[in-house]
Amino acid sequence: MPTLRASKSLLRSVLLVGRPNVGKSALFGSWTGRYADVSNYSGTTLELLAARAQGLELVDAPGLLSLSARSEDEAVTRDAVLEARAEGIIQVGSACDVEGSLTLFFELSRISAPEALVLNLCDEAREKGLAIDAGGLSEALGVPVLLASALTGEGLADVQAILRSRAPGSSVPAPLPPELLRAASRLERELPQRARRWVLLALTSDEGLRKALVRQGLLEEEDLPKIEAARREFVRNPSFLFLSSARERSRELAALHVRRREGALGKGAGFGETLGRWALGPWSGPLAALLAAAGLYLFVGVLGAQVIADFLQDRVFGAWILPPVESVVRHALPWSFMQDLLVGPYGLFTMALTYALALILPVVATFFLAFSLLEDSGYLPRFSVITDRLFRMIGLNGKAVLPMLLGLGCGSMAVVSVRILETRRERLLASLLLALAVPCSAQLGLMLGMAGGSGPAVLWAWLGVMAATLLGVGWAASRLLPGAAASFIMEIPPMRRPLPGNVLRKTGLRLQWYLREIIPLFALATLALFLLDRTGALSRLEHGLRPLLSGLLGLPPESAGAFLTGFLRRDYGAAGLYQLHRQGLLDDRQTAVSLTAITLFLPCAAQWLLMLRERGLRFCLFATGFVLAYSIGAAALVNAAWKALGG
Amino acid sequence: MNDVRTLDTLLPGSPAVVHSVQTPEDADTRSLLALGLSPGAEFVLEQGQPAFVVRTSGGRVAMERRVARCILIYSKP
Repeated sequence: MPTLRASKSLLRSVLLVGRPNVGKSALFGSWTGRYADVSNYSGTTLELLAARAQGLELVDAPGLLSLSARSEDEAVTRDAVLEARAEGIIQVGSACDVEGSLTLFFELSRISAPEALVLNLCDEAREKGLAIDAGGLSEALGVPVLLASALTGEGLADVQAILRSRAPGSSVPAPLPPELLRAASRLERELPQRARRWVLLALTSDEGLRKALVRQGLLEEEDLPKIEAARREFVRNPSFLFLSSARERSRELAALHVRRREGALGKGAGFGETLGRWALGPWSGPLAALLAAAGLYLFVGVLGAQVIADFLQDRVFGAWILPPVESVVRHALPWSFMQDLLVGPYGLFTMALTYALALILPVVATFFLAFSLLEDSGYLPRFSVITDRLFRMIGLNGKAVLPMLLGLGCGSMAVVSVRILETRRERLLASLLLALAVPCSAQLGLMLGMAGGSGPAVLWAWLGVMAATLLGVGWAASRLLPGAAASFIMEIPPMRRPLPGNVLRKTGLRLQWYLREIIPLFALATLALFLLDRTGALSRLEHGLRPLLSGLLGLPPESAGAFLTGFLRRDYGAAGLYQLHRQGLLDDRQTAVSLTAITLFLPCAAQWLLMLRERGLRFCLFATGFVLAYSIGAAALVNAAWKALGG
Repeated sequence: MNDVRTLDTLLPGSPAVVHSVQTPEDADTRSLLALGLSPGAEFVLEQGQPAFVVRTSGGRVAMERRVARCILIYSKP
């Protein structure tokens, strides 16, 4: 269970809460100087992030559409709001959507009124011709309402002043329908004194929120049957009644205090608006998706994996770095054991660092750069809409595009982002597919390089097996897992010009995270291979694996090393196979078989551990067994089919 | 009030008003209400393919046909 406080500090903790994509993380970053991942789509922040600033502990929380949390990241915020009620909550809203921000304000007020409502994106609202009367709103709500822009810095000083001077909330609640008021007062009489404060919230909430109230000790289990009975007396779900009346009040307030200036650019104007509409259209949308995919392939698969990787490997490492390092090591260190450990065939310099920096880094760097651009532009939710039907065939919906695309970058990051999916069924399904059939960018780049260097049959066989796996396993698993597919409902943000600073910062941080993860593991795997080689165990293993590798899969015995390192990192395994391919040790059939096996191979250690944390041991053990058996089975099938077809 | 019908019968480009929302899953209704498709909300249907996309006062919402069928609307008078 995530807790609000990151540390046992004595500082007052203030929780930043708001609807998704209103810029909470950007404001958090500008106040604390700490970078929280910022994108132009919902669900970027997945857990609480705390930092100290101005004598306070500020906590950035995942976006919350409503207190009736649907996904795991929303549930984190819902629980944090309950926990933070006594300390302080600042709501961040959007100046472009005052009505929506006010609805969440009234929802939050049932727990504890936010100390202030900060309407971010005021520069964008002004461009759209919206004039907001913050003073009037402030008076109507009973708490300070401030206009701010994390982008331009406008209004941030006022917000900081509010943060410093603790202003007790005396907010004005939304008027409630009479039947709700009557039911609440009846229920208050039936429940003990301690529970009365929470009657309205319990009556107008979903089951998840009521359970959270019990977990936090605000209600007792024994109160729930009485609350349920009171809820059943309503013709219409009382939570809908509350939300509808809160929305109606928000609409009235927005109509009174938000004016659209005449002659200003309306919503139908602007290049971003046109591009955004185009990317969603029935014909232009799929075309835009194909263009984006082709662009991604050219940037990552060709520029990163071929042009830059070849240059780094042949020139930078092959000609400039490794020869002098090798000569220094051979002269300075008299022991052949140490020499080989550093610059031998399984050496830390010649293998671990070269693979990490010359082969993997260019691919991952180009992928993260392209992905950050897509994230920042607001294109990804549109891609979700276009691919919704495809994802439906495998029991998911368009929302799964975000974790799956992130999985093409790095499986470990993706397995955490599965939290944004709304049902347990979808989260399990997406985690299984990520573990099995979504190769990370490093792996993908290398494999595209291998496939590109072979006959076209290799590429088609490999793509065919991957497509059949995603469709077949997704289809079968979606029928075996209980529950119905979740509905596709998604907020579409406006398209914006990506901010170069944010894109570069985000790419840099992701790369730093990635390299910090892979370099020690690559070194460890290389050391293990080196020791296995030195002790003669590697040749015994190659011999032992011969029936499987040479017999069943028809691969050369040298591929054993690649698969062994693949247990630690799939991308390292792929790098080993890539080298074998470059050395001409794999023919077309063997390339197709090894590509199939390593793509579907076990997820790397980091992804496995995160999967364990997120989805539990039982799922992890099942996924591991299934993935291992499936990858070997599929590769054996490709081998047999290729031979049968006379390849 | 004009005839009440479901959102999926509306022609793209038409402005309309939400009459009520009743999806089989309560969570979907709550999401739609929170996204601004509450009774009385004015919106414009921008497209019906590959998903229904509506523009409300606060922004855009995309949904599949199954959901659009559960939103009762009437044409803007």
